[in-house]
Amino acid sequence: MLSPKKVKFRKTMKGRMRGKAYRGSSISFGDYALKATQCGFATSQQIEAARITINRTIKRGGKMWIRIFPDKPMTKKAAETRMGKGKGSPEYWVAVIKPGRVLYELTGVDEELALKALRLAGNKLPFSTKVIKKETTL
Amino acid sequence: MIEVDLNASMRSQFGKGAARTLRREGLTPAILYGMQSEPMALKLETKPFTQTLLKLQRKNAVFTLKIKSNDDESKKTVVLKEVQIDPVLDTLNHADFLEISLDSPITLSVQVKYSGTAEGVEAGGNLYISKDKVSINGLPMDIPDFLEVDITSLQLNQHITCRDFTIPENITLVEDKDMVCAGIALYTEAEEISEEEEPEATEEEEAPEAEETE
Repeated sequence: MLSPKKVKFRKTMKGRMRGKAYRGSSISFGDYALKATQCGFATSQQIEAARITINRTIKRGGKMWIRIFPDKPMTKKAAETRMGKGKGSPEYWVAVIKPGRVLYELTGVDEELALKALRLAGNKLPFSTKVIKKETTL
Repeated sequence: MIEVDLNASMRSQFGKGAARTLRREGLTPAILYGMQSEPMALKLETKPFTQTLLKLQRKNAVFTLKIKSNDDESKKTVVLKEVQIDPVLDTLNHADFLEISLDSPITLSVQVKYSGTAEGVEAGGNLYISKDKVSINGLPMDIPDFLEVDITSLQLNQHITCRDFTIPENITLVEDKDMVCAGIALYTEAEEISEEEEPEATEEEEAPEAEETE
């Protein structure tokens, strides 16, 4: 699963997800893409699950790009711990997703299969997505 | 370069509210500037403008804008400088047009198409492309839609620079001549761990993998 090799700080503040993703919002490599239409956190497990879904659907051939990377650590307090005593320990990694962000790109497969693969991948993510085609986007 | 005709009309209301009203009415706010003239606020019909842009597929084009003001109609030769697009809805928000003269040179970004299969690729190498667009200076109608570069003679561990491009005499390349544009390299792919073999990492082990440097 995707995670950073080295980080400057082990824990981050929770932050806010305001506005739309203007960067990384257009198709750069492939012909078809999955785009987020809502904001949310995509965990490394969810990114991996969606990747596996795409690979299983297209079987062989084609090329895929993952346009997001989980670089934000999420912490969790241990079970049955009283409040206080500081922030919990890092548990998993997430990618912060804003509406408009391109998540996966696909090329080298026929349209029907590509759209199916991306639609199924979108079902693995905790926010709403849509499938876009390069030829019909500005 | 492709030539396209577009209709536009003058816009008298400005600001966020007026622009949103225009978009609701199926119009796109735009601005025209350049040639040492005063900027002109315009509005265009979104549907035909979107269809034109989709047909162009991000290629350069010279637009002939027919601008309607109160009574008269004027024609301007322009290029599209910038388009603002809503990242979620993929609709047009705003367009910037730059007025040009067909007699004076301009600098535009042109797509590079690498044609042919390199000999190095057949020998097991991988083609990497580090530059798929280059800036070209010349008269607007002399600037090509794309630059085609033949890479069939590229061997393993060889690369192609901007100096190797064959460019017509009437245009000039505005790039560092020694910049590597594409090459053939031998990658060693990491072994992919199949899902069944992949060890189930516990949640406690995953996060602390990243070391803090400070």
